[in-house]
Amino acid sequence: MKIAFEIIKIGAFLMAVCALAAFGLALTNRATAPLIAEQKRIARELAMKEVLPGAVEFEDIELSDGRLAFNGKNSSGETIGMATIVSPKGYGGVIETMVGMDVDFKVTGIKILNMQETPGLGAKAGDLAFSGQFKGKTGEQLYLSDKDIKKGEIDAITASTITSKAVTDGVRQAVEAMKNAE
Amino acid sequence: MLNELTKGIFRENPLLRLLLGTCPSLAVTSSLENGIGMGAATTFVLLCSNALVSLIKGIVPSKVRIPVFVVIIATFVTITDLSMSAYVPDLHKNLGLFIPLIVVNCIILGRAEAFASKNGILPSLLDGLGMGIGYTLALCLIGSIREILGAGTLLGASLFGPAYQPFLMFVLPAGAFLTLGLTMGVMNWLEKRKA
Amino acid sequence: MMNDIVVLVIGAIFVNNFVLARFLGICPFVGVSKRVGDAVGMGMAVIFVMILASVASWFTFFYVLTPLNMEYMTTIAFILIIASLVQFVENVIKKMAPALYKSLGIYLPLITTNCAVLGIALLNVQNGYTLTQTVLHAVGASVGFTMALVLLAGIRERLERADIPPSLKGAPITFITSGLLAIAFMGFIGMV
Repeated sequence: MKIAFEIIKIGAFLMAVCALAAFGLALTNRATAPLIAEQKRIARELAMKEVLPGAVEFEDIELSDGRLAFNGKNSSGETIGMATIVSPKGYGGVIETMVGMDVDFKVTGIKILNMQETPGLGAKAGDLAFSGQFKGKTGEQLYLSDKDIKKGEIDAITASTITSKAVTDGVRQAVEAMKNAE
Repeated sequence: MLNELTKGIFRENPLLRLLLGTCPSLAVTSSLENGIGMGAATTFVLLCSNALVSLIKGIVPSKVRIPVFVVIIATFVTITDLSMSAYVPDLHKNLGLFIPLIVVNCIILGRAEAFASKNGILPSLLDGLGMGIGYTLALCLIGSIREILGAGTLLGASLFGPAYQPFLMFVLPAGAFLTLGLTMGVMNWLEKRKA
Repeated sequence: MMNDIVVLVIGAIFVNNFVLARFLGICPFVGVSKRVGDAVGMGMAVIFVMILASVASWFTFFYVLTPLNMEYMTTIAFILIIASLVQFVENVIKKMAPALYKSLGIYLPLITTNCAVLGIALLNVQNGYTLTQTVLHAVGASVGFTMALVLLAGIRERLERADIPPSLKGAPITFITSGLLAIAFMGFIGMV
């Protein structure tokens, strides 16, 4: 009986510590969550300006499949393009990519927002040498130039076929999704 | 008193002599900036946990002290994680998985168990500070070597001009191991010469 | 589907080897790699703990923390789960294989602070894996860890008879050797 009481006492102490920890963290979370959300918003806006050069205003579009998308308008208020975010599954995890395209569904730019690919290899997907290739391409051209089901115009990163294919597929899906949404 | 502060820097350097905290030392030292950031974060957690552990050492039942220390450390690590995400998002992104992994950095639990749970608050703070600084210096050393050799930059600033072809290997895993091993070897050699 | 499984497991064992590429699990890697026998024993324990811990933490994250909007408790929850599991495994090994228990010594409770175990639990939920993917990932990662550990132990046993400069004896030469192993593993990169 005494042993049971000992265990309960120890357990209760640990639970008390956990409860205090949870309380402290809940407070910290409340203080930092808005800042974190703001950081995300700023990063997103910067990405949007990068993939839709010339756009100064952005307007959310509601897509039927719940996907996040926006119109980009220039200073005269005309829609110059659209952008959406795709998350293809890469090698080390999901590769969150923002894809911008003009009103003719030609890619105007892509920006990788989040990825966990291998540094020095798949991580090069973020470099301009790879991501810059997508500019000006249309749906048909969005396949790898080698080792893909169709011959396209995107050169894969050496020894990072999976990452390259994932990003390429993602960009193509983005263009197709926007086309179908129209 | 001063001894508590300085021992962590050279003689009992947690990374290079006690072999504690090796995982982050390989993973985030691809640049000097990341090394400084990780060192600072670890030092912060170390200070807070040493202080709190020392404070409550009287009332913690001995049988449950390790889990209690771990929860305390994990709490400060989470605070650090959230704060970094809010205030220094780029550094947070670079250090990634290794910020929550600070909780299993053997240095922190090690010092809590070996020192803070048996000493007063001020010595514990100094011990934490000394160990933290020592760790940060070690990280900076490795980070600098790897960045200079592997990328030709330091803190992002190019040192040798654009024509320099860096030893890419040094910012990759193999280079990390080699740099750490050679640095430790040099430290040992210096110790032997002093003796 | 099959392709996904192969990529996940092979990737975790060779290309993204937890120790030699991701730097998780270095402390036991350096500490228990002196004898091949110890390495194998430690590896088995790690495989067991990693798979169980991955499953337990996955459930906790998706069925407890997320519905309650308490993701900030992830680190605490995961480390407590891991600590309890290690305690449990320790008791089991003590009863069933006392010789192994003795030779693993302090390194068994140290699995708790093995960054590989907490690391994989976090990676699983960060990547949003399904339960199946989580288990496969855990299997791959722990097998990869064990493989690297046993490889290094084999090399270190031979190194004992080599003539190493005194400053490099012990940790330094271990790291340098690991670096060479890492370079060798880089050769797997083109595989996937």
